Amino acid sequence: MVDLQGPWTPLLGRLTLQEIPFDSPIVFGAFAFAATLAVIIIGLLTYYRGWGILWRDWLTSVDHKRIGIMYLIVGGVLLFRGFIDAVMMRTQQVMAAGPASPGYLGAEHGYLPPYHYDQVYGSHGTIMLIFAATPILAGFMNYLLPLQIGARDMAFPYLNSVALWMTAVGAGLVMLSLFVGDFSQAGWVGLTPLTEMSYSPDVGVDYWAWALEIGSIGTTLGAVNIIATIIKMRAPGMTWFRLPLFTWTALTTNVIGLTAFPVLGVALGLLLLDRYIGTHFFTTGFGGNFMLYTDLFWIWGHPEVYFIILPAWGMMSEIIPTFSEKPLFGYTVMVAATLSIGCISWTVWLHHFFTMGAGPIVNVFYSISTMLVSIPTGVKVFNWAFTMFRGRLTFTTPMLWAVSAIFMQLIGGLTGMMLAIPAINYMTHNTVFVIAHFHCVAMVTIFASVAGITFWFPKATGFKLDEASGQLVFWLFMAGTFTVFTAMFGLGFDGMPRRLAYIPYASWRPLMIVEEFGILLYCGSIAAFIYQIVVSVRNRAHNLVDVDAWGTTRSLEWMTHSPVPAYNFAVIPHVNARDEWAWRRDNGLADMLPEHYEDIEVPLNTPVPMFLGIATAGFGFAMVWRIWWLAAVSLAAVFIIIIIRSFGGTTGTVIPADAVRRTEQASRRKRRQNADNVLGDGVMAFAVKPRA
Amino acid sequence: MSTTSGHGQGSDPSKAVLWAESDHEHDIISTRLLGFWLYMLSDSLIFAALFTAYEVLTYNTSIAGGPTPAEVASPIRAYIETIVLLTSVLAFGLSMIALKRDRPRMVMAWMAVSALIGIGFLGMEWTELAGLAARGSTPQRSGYLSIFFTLIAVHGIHIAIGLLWMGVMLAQVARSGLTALVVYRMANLKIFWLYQALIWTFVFTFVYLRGSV
Amino acid sequence: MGIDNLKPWEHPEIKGASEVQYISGYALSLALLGLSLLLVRAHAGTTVVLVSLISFISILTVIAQLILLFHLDFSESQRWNTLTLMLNVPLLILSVGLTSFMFHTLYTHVMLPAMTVR
Ligand code: HEM
Ligand SMILES: [Cu+2]
Repeated sequence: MVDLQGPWTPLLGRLTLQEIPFDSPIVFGAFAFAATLAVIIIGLLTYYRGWGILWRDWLTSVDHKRIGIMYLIVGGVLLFRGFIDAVMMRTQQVMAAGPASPGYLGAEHGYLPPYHYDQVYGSHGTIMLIFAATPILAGFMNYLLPLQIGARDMAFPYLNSVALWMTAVGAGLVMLSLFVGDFSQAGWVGLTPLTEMSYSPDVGVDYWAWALEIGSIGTTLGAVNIIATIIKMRAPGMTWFRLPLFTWTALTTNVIGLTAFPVLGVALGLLLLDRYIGTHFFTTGFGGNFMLYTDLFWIWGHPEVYFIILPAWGMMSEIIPTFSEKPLFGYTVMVAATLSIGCISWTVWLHHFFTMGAGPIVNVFYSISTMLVSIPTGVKVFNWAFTMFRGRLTFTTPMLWAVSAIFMQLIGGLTGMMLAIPAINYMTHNTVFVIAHFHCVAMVTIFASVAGITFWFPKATGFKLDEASGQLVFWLFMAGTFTVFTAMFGLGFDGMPRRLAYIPYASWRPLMIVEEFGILLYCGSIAAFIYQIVVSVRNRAHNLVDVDAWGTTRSLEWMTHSPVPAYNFAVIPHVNARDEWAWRRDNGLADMLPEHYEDIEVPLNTPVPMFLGIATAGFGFAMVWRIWWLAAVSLAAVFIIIIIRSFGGTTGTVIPADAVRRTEQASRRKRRQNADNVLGDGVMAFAVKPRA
Repeated sequence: MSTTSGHGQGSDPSKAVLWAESDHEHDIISTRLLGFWLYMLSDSLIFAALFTAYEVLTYNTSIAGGPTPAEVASPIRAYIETIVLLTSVLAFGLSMIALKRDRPRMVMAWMAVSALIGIGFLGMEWTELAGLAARGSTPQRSGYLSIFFTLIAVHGIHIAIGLLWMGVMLAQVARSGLTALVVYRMANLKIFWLYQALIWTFVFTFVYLRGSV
Repeated sequence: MGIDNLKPWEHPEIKGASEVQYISGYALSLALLGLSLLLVRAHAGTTVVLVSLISFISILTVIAQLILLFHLDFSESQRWNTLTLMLNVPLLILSVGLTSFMFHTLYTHVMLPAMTVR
């Protein structure tokens, strides 16, 4: 064991009352905010008698749709937290530019001391990539995949729930670090040797590493599930080249996830060994090699960025054809491009540390392999453009987001190409130019996700989001993005380093004021989004939809009811074409119903994954604070729970054919009534007029 | 522009089959086996990453004046360990053959043999590391020793988990016989156990033999 | 689940096992690794030759194990399992190979010459 700075007791490990930062007004404000929110939620649940529903329909559910929605909620909450971090950082930087800038709240410049700023910096990146983007995409994949391939559920529904809980525990640890102890001050990448015990003696790095370790177990398990589902659970007739493109990208992404995340696990594991038992993997003495960490981290890190963008491309490939009323242009080429990007993403990681000094041969190798990515990426951009070419375009909110995502992709991709040239990289590495680059590409994921939310929302709930306020959200967000990142590219060209809590040159201030203005636009957009949700829920009766919410959709998920019943499809469809639903609609088969129904077997709810989650959370917390007894007990609990469950009996239940028929007929009746109501109110049911 | 163009292999709508005959049989054994193979893929990437680290940490800088690979890793001892581990694998194979013939008692007997030999292997790994540490070659001594210990220990942890799993399967075969659930778990355990021997092949070659080349 | 009407031990992925294969897999693995051991003990060749030889033998051993012990092939029931396993190969080569390429080059560029010798 290593020597610790500060106290340690067998009972509580490093945990003392001083670790709870009562004295910091910012943390205290955050705590007050979170506590108020918790009280409101608990109050509402009790008032509406929601506890039973929460337990039965959500926490213990193994239904892929509910799990998908829970992933989206976890991701959404963390996205909000990450956004607050971003606002704090931008505000700090604009306040702390130049030696004359004043300081508040105990900071020399601005309002955040470097110690605090660095934690915000580290948590923003970690949260956005791992605990916001990743769960949001996992949510989409969970919700949509079984529907798109015509299955009743995932291959392993129980494992699915375990994966969700692992992700939630990881996210929970990051959130907890805000109130108990510190978070890492070494950036989301964990800069070695700064993360070593001698330079970061507090628990921040431990929080960061354990949260990532546990969260990535979730991602890995999810990947196993999704790949097995796609391979084994496709409906009859759903051949490989009829799979919707989102399914293809999900497959590729999860192969990346499955193979890349273990490498992260090892990189962090070795770092933790350094920190806990004093080995010398990444230290600066005794034969440690801190560039080895950088190497392992980016072996995972670069595939991870493609993990994040591929499903986004998949969603764009679903949305753009729908609102162009044309099949996706060059489907086969798109599939090939997706797969080849998946392969190339494994060969480029050194472009994150060209400046290590491995020399021209190595750098040129990685420069060329990085540039190869632009070929399939370019192919994709052209294919989307050709899909729209001569299509019948309707610019609904999802389409607006999807089309702008293409623009962000162009900017992000082209600046990436610039960074991939070693000679340029030596100038721009570790400047905010890099930050601007990857935010543009990450925005592709954000844009596509919002597009996806708007697009599939009616499938999950039965009503559409309000269109007018949706457009407002979009334009504000778009304006914010361009304002912030155009200015940031400028600062990058000026050579402004990243990760600064204090900016030495006052001359960089004007562009930072521009960025701050962009952040205000973002805030406006978030407010508009909340307004949009409220309005949509209030006016939902006017926005009810039928199975095919947009009238021009293409894939299987639009064949079943909105919202989707527990069993997905009353009878599994037999697939006859790529874009089966569009094919049925075009051939007048959309109203055909199955002749007879059969019993359907669905998995039973189970609280076991939640228990596993609790035990794992205990383990993570105990390891962070070095409470050895609790760690041992929790780890033993994990094993015991798994073993006991493996002795369990039935895990499924049957919905009888009769019940299925009744549900089907009832929902058809209800649908007709809804249509009557909507017409009675004299409001158009669809923003886009359905075409017969 | 017709929406039908580009439907690829669209069939004739008038004759098309629209609904599946019945829920197609989901063969849980093969689905779960695939799931487990996928898991093993990620598990082997753990070893890939460790071997990557090993590769970097065997330079002289990382040996840092401490013991060299040749002094730490004894190929003869490792070969004996290889024999032990492979014998355990063979016993597990015989257990799988009993499984195929629907003979639960033989399944249990061979699995117990396999587990006992496995415990022996784990003991050998343990005494090796403990012996090194007792001589002052602890993982804290150098970057090289750090990765050597970690690589062997991670393999050992896998072995230990495999042994625990065998214990559970002994109980399950005894309790419920060869049901589909028990059979797929046995098949998964087989993959897991054999995989440890496969990884060991690389450990033997690239850690033990390579160290004394 | 429909599997209940099938005897689980008659499943194609279980039925494949055979004594001959297990025993020959066992013997072959031990023989090949023993050969490696002998080569190394006898210092039969320069470092480069020896390392290439034992690497090659280890790959042969692994292939023998995959075929004889895991019964992997391209049959209907094993196709996806085999593909999954094959995905390991390029990833292993990439991560280990490219890393040693970059660190080897790095050490020759930036380290003291005395430290680069292995
Ligand atoms: C079009 C292909 C792309 C190319 C050629 C490219 C190239 C690069 C290069 C060379 C760097 C290193 C810059 C430096 O640190 O000096 C970089 C950083 C980064 N890229 Fe990309 N990139 C591409 C696409 C993407 C995508 C799709 C994403 C993910 C959404 C992404 C996310 C990132 C991130 C997160 C970083 C910075 C990580 C950090 O240091 O914190 N990139 N990119
Ligand atoms: Cu990259």
